[in-house]
Amino acid sequence: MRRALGALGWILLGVALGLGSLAAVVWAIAAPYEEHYGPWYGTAIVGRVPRNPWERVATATRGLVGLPRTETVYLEASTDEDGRPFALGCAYRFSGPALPARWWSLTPYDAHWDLIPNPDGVYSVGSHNVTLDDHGRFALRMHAGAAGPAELPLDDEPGTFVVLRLYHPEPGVAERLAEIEWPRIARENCP
Amino acid sequence: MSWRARIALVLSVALASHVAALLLVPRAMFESVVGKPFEGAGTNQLGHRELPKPGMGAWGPSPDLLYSKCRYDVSAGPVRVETPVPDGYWSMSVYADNTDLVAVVNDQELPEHRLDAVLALDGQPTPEGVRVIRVPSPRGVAFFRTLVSDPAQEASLDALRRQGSCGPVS
Repeated sequence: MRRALGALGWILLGVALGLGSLAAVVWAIAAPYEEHYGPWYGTAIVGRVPRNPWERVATATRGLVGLPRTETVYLEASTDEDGRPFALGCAYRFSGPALPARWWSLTPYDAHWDLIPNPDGVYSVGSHNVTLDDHGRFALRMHAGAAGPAELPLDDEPGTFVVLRLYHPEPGVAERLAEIEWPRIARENCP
Repeated sequence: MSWRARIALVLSVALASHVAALLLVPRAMFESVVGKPFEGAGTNQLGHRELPKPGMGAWGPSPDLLYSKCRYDVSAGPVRVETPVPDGYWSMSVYADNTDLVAVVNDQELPEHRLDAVLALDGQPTPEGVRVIRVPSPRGVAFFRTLVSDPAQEASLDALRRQGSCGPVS
């Protein structure tokens, strides 16, 4: 009995090593594709055709059913522009120029990647419904108690984040993401 | 058990679990997420989901896209996808059952506002005059995205996509 338990322990150690080494290899493969633009981050691995099984796992775990950059650019933000995670009760101002794509949108999610209920039934703001000023810029507030067309709700639980989607980015945009003026995310007020 | 035997056991189990997970993770993700037909649809049938709302159980959907899906199986022969294409953003992306992206077609490539495509393995005969998408394995999924830029358009875009079909080549 004791010998069997001992062998089971060595087997579990082997499983842990096998899975841990796979996670490490996948992380190392995905790391060079990670991109950061201020508070926005994304990965160029989404929509790529993998060259080997390890890259396939990296692609599947980072961007399942994603589209290539020529079709779509996806970025996420879970902090303001000073690097502070979205905090409960705080309001955030997203602002910037209209983005260079056929269609773009900002969508907040909760920590489980679900849309956030709100009385207006509006779950995203973007090129289809945003109001631009005379300079072609927009401003939008996000906070847990959002209401009205110029506001979107953040979740009232930790882990809330925002996804920025650009469908059919203008020619050349996918190759020069670092040069794009991405929306600023300024923390306005906190309780 | 000697130390040499213990090390051999640990390394062989580590290698086996590494390779098994490497091969099984994408397939498991396909079976549990990507390749799961929408409610009411089966294999080689086009299924539709309404505009995403909170609590639908979808993982990170765009609230502005109508999603449709055809889980295909071409092992018995090619599968034909025919659908009208709206004026706004629309795309069909095809994924193999190991989650690899096989092809993407969007509305800007289809000025005739109609897609007529056949999914087929290498060597399978296909009808004349249709777009042929060669898939690397018999099973996979074709995933459709239709932009609803104005909520008032939802009903008409939904009706349009329901004119589409996905099924064995007759």
